[in-house]
Amino acid sequence: MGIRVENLRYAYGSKLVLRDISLFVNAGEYIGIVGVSGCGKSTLLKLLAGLYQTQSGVVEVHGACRPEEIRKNVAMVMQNTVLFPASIKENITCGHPMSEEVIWQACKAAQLTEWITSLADGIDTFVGEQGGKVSGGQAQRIAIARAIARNAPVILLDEATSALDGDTGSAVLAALDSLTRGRTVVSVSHRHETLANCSRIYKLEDGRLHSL
Amino acid sequence: MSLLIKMMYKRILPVVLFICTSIFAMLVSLWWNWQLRDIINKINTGTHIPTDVIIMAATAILFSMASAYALSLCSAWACECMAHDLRMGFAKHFATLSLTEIENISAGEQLSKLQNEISEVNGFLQTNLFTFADDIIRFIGTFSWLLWLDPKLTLVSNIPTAVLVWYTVYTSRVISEAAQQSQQANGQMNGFAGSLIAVFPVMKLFDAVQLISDKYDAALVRWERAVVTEERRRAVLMSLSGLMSCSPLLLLLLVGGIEVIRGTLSVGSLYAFINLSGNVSGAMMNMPGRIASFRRFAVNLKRVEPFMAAGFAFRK
Repeated sequence: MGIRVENLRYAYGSKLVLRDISLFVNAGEYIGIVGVSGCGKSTLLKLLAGLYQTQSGVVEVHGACRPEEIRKNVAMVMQNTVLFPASIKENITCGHPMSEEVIWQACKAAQLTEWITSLADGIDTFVGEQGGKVSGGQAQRIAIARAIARNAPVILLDEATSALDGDTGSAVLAALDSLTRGRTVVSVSHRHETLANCSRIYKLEDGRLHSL
Repeated sequence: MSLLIKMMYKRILPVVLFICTSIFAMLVSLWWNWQLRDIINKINTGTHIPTDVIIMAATAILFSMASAYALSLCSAWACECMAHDLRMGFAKHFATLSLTEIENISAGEQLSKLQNEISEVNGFLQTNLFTFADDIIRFIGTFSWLLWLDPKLTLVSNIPTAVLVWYTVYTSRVISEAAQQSQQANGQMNGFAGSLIAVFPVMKLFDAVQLISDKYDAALVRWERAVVTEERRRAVLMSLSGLMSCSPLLLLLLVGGIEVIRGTLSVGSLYAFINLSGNVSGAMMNMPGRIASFRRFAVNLKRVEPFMAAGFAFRK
């Protein structure tokens, strides 16, 4: 099923950011898109996530073309992780009914189990407003657990590995490895070296994709 | 509280000027009452009132008016200066942040801070702080003067003041706790609303609208309950305080009246006592509210203090 993008154009008002983008990603393939800040990488990813409506061209993700259907097939992890002002558990389930087994499996895959069991309130610990009560690495792993628990066939990573450091970084990378294994992945970054696992890398420049 | 000290230190001239004016106004008020006491006593005994006494009394009235005007001018000047420093301190904080820190700021949260904590601190500075300080100066000065004039009547008529003081401390603590809870709930609710913009894409992608809606409703209910509790406690405690504050005046009339009948106190002195009782019992009557708002102000000040470091650094 994978991802199919054909002749995609997208503009913010009169500013055209994506020009005739065509991209085919096979199911289970891991591709990377690199480009400088503001070149339109995140816009492309939001179109692939079904967060934006296409203006011209086709976006088909896992057989779905309408944004609301696309969103059902996609999970996304961003650099500036946004958590809901709720508990760890609610951040993972997003309020959807989910078995304890699925939740804990997601926590384990996201390298969260040890930390969660050390907390007084465990998985019901409140993460604060905008995740203010947890560290950046912990917040990112919660977001990864959320994406794992969603069990979506397509994973989108928006600068997900750009701000990693030390031990936290290795834990997040291990969590991302669990998330992306066997799935269709599109990872965007402004740094080429963070896309080492990709089978193909594209460069987004002047609104166009160039194969590297 | 260190922020308040820094704010006052930064504007030491208007603050000192206000304190001096307040002391002067209090002394003028006592002088006028002294004149009035003499005039009433002379009228009461049928003695002729000399022209110089009338001129002196008229001068006291003019001084009293001038000091009241100077007092409001000084307090308004000091308030505006301090309020301006507060706003500039908050603005300076953002000017000193790095680009990364600015990017991570929640606009909603900061706006909420500006609309709630800073505007409340501002409001207290403009309406309460200097009135509170003036009340204390008047209370100390008047009470000492009345004590010198008639220790027995002063102490007897102000015995309930001790009860009022205890009650004031108790009520202000209770009201302050309730106020703190309602502020926390308000902060949580505003923070929640502010974070909605940030979480919107994730909310849409993971279909978490119901979760967020339920959480927001819960925060709203918590805030509503906290506000109702605060207002209810304030109403009950303050109304009782208002009732109790009448007792010093009643005792003054009772004991003072008996002394006048017995001839141990002049009518002029009793009039001066009644005239000045507002400075003692009146100040006490307003005390629960003032202390409660001062505590609320202290809580708000504590919340904005971390944002004011750039604007209120001491210069040696």
